[in-house]
Amino acid sequence: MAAMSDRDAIRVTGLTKSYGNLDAVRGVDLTIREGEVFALLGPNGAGKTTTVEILEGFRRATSGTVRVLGLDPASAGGQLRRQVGVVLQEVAVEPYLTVSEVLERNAGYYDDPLPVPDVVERVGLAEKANARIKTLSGGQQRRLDVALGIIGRPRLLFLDEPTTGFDPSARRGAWDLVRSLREVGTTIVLTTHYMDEAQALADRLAVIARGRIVAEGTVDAIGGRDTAATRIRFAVPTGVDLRALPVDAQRESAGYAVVRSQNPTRTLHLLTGWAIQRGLDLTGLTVDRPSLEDIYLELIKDPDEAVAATTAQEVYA
Amino acid sequence: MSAASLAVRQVRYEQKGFWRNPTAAVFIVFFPLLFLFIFGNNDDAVKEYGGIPYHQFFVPAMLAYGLMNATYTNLAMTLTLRRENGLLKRLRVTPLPAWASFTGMAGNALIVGAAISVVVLVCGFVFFDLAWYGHWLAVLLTCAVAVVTFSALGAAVSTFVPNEDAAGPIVNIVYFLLVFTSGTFFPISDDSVLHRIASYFPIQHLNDAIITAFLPFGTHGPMHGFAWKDLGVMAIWAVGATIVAIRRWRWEPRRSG
Repeated sequence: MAAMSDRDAIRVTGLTKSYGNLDAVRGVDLTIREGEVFALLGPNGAGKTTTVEILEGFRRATSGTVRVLGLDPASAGGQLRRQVGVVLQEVAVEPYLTVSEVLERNAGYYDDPLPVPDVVERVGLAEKANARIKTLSGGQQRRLDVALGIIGRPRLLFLDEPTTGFDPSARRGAWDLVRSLREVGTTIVLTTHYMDEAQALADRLAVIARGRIVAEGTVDAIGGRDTAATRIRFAVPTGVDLRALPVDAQRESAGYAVVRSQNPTRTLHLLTGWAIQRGLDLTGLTVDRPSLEDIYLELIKDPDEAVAATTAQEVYA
Repeated sequence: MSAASLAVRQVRYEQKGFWRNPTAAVFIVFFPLLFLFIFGNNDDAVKEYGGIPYHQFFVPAMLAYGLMNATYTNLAMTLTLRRENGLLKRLRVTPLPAWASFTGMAGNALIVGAAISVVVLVCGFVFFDLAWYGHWLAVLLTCAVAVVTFSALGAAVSTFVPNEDAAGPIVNIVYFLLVFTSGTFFPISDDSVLHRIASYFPIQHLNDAIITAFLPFGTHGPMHGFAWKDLGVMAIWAVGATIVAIRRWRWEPRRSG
């Protein structure tokens, strides 16, 4: 087991995948450490699903090296599947068996499974343990899918949009489950469209767009979020010319102005000091930094489209 | 877990799922019995053929129909639905080897087929004066070849079904056309065009083989009643269907492109 002595659960270098003329993945490098929750974000068709499916062993890479728990997922077979849990997007369970029956059955596939009643409890299906699967709601079936993903006590768990369609309390439940798995050292690879989910759960995340990783880092620092300019926004007091302000402000819609600053403490001090001196009130004053969503949307923008949009704006201005 | 106990376990869960499914129970298990009693009690039917009572042909034919339902229809539908709703894909992420999973499904088909056969035969002996000439080896061999051939055909046909909605029509249309033209429900004259066409397909040969195994050929005893030519045609179909199934096999839904 020499290959697995290092602390990387997943190591991918130079991964590409082409379908005919279409390059779905165009050179992905990715390292996911053991024990971390790693979120992979990206728009549909960006190569996210293809990348994850290569990691899960469903597809073969066109080129590049892929190591999952030290093994090549394309050929490792049972040795890897015993250590990896996968929760796929679509729910797929035999309709005429009960919750406990499918879990008991699948538990038998693993060397050291979790006890079925515990798992049933953890995903919140205790009252439904003896119900046939076809009688479960969509959300309950999804939770059963999660239960099947963790029954084998996986070292590594793939969660593909695990909370899509969940109500808020079921979502919190799923998040708690992810956190409890992380506490026992499970590595988790999460794909999601929800920024708050990535923010709440992920130790690190990567954004994939146009077949490449365009940014990677912690939730706080990704895409330069930690160093991005702070945004100060306020309603312009009536009769005030923006040029009279002690800071550089841009007019925004609906009578608001925005100041971008790398030194918000000083900028705010100047701005509020100026207002107090003149007895003016800066109503609607907010101070914020770009949200994860702002950064994400900026990152996934197609450079060509961005140019086109700017040009269009200039034409109509 | 040993390979054998893993397989037995799979069969057990398949059995649970099968008998709880009302559609499967009606179309696969109940139909052969229904037809046995409907056509078996038809007063207008031919009473005998070459001095042998009609029931001596019809009961074995219903046994064959039951076996085909349990294997071909059952597996074609199950494999298609499981592929399309993602169950086969999901199977690939568990450590369960593919062979164990197939053993589970095929074992289930075998048990269902055996159960239908036993019930049809018991009804045949009790209600239709079915005569027994002791060709049990021929009966067993014919049933075994039928199970293998029609299981393979079920797997092969499932690979041609593009989605869940098409499963019923595609799996059943050619099947029923062949069942009717192969003489399963009523005799088809040997020199008719229908008979010629059906002779290229395996259902007519299963019928002929199983009926032969129930006829008083030569002397009584286990070594009689083999329809070697028909069994050979079925075996060729089994090999062809297996090759097609393996070559066209997909674990993932076809709808996903």
